[in-house]
Amino acid sequence: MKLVFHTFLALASTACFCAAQHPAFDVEAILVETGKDRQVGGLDIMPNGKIAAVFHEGELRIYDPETETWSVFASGLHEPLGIVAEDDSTFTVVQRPEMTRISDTDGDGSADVFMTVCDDFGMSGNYHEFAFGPVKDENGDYFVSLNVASNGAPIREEIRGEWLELGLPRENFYGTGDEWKEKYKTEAGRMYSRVPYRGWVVKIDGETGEMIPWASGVRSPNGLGFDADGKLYVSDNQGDWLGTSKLHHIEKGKFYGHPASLPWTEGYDGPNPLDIPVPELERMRTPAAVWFTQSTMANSPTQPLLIPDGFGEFGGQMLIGEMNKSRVIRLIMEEVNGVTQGACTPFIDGNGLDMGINRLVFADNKNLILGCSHLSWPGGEGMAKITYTGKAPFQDVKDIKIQPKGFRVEFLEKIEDPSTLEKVTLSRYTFDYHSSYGSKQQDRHEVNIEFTPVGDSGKVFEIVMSSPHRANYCYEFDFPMSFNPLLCYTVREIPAK
Amino acid sequence: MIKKLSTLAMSAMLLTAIDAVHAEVSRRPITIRAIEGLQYDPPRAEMDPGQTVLFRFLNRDPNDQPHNVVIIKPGSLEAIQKASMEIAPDSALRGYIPKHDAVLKHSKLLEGDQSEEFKFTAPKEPGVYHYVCTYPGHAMIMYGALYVGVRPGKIENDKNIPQFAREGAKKLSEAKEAVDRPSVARYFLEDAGPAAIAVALENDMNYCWDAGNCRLRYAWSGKFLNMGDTSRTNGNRQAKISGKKFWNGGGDELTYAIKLEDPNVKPDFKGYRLVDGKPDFKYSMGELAVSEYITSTSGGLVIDMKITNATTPVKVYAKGNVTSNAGKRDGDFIIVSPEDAAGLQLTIPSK
Repeated sequence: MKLVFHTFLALASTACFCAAQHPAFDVEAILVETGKDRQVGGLDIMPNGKIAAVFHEGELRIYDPETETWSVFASGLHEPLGIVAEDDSTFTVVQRPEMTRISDTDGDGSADVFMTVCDDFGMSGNYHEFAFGPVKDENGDYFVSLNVASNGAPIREEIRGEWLELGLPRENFYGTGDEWKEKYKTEAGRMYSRVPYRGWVVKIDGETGEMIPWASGVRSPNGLGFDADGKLYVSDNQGDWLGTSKLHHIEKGKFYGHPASLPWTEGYDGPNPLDIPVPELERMRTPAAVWFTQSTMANSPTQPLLIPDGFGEFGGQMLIGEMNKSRVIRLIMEEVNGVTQGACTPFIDGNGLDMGINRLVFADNKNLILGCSHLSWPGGEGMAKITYTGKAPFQDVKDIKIQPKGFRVEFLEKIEDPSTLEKVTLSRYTFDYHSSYGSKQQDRHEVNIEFTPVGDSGKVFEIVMSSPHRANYCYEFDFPMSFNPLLCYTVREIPAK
Repeated sequence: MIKKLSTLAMSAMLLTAIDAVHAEVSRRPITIRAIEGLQYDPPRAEMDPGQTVLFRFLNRDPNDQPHNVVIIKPGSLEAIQKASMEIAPDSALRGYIPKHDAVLKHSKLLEGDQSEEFKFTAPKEPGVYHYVCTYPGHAMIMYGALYVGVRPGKIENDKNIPQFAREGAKKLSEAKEAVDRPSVARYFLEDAGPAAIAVALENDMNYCWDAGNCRLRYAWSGKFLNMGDTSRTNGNRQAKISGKKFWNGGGDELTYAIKLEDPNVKPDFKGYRLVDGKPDFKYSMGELAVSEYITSTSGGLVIDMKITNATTPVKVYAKGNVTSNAGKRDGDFIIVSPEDAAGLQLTIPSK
């Protein structure tokens, strides 16, 4: 046991520079057996309070927090990336090829039935076709997101599902070596969708297993979650057509910007999506609810998760993991003119945390469980727990709302010295929407701001900007008095009053 | 020239017989590859102080990641890792080389499959230098140790290289092919669709069953699969069949275990139940409900196939030396009556 702990500490210490503990939230490691695969693809809490986790190499293991011991429930899964604990002996897992219901029907503590719920999506055999989820809505239906393929690798000669004949013939996709790299790669598109519903979020009927295509235009959507109103959110990763990483509010029938998925739209008779002019795509797409500024905020955001009441003062907001930094981010969402948009700010930043925060689940309203992964990218391994202790007060932005001429901000603690507000800075910038990989911050400008107190709590202020709001800009604040000074608000809609 | 000779002579005198081997090696070009999973191969290299060596840097990352190699001063790894995260507007133009005085030498930023050669003269001061990839997000884990005039210790204990490089060296030295029998494993497999399943049975028998087209694809005896160290892979790698294949069903993604009149009917995979640890596969084929339970003997595989709801004779794909307890062979197929289909047993000999 001691050895395991040292392994984790070694990882943690190489992974983060900011080791200062959070004043009100403790970070500690959950021991995952050494010598075993420790990359977490999915997490859920069982009705009996145990933690179910699926791992990179295909095991479903159960952790008993009382005894701090692990047991293997099932093995032989193909890159499972999400799990829902249905009851203490039944789990719904998304693995590369299927959504599977795994159960222990003979009561021996390990699985004996692996029932396919849905395998109606295609597989070209390209490694980047990950399947993420499931999350289960209040009607008992599931949502799963399907990664597009990467032109960094070919497809396999046998596929599953219908092949989309679109320009480059199928046999050119088998290519390895120079021919693929020199001739076909570009024609395929950086990320491509040649088998059904790659680049889509799909709904899977909880009873029949029927797959219902739900929304298109995602690229690498590693994370799904609901807010308190049951709105579905899916994150997506910076790359081609994504100037920076995003959080989408997913609604049926909408297109979220990555065009590879478009030909799978019912009745689609348009051209190769790479030939659609950008202004046309711009007109079709629903922009992101939140931008995560690359390198500043997040490089690979993961799973969004609703915060329960009692977890500090953040109940009703959401958290989202980040693979690439030792960071968990807090989301402050609102609806303006019928459009969902909002802010992101670090919640735990370093503070003893490892990188690779891939999955999150609340054990109860005080304890958040984290699972880490990396695959072939930067990240981390193992598990951690963040506990709300409330030991010491700390300053952070509790809430922020857009106003016609600026923002209204509420701090956790009273601003004792209003002159500190003079040190708050605001910049705005936007990102390009284009086929190339990522975008620089464009048109970055400083914005002068003035604070006016609202009410007499000393916590709420009106921020009035020197220049009017611009839609489709990211507003980046620096609050030097906050534990987490960085906060970015993505403006889509501007309220009239 | 004289000075150079005398330095060489002196260092030669200082070297023991074993050290001489190291010196010999380090005079050759040093080849460093960027490989899958943000790793350098090798994770360590050696030079003598003041020595000039040709470096060959090859980006061989199959995942299409750009990489560079930046040689830095001893003790500066953390600072460079930190600096590589601070991205300025001109970072890309500079190939993400941090503006930092600890940088001694660097390659260009290479795309996949590109190579570069450069000469590097080791500083006179002995020490543990590092080589690191400063492409954003890589430096935290993608680095190696350059030992200049210092002997590296055992790689398994080397704190100058990333943890996974230490552990990987350890793991690769251990046998990877031990497997519980029976057990199920799912990776991308050769000669099968992307939804295939590998099963290790008793008697050192193994098979590949394809959940995409619902049929047995091939069988082999001996060791199961070799995946190598998968801890830094993204699933692209195909599992290697370790043993000897004794049967291959051939066909392609549209070849099914049961041939129906209507070619548009496809099998629908329902999952499996583990019976004595071995999968009993379930699928439907049109109106037919099928289960397939495969066991082993020392002589090969036994397939218990239950095909129910048949009203007419069933055509079962059984290529090669497959024998059955019922029905009549017709080319690659065995044709069985609806009654016999409910209790069909096929046998595949391993020799």
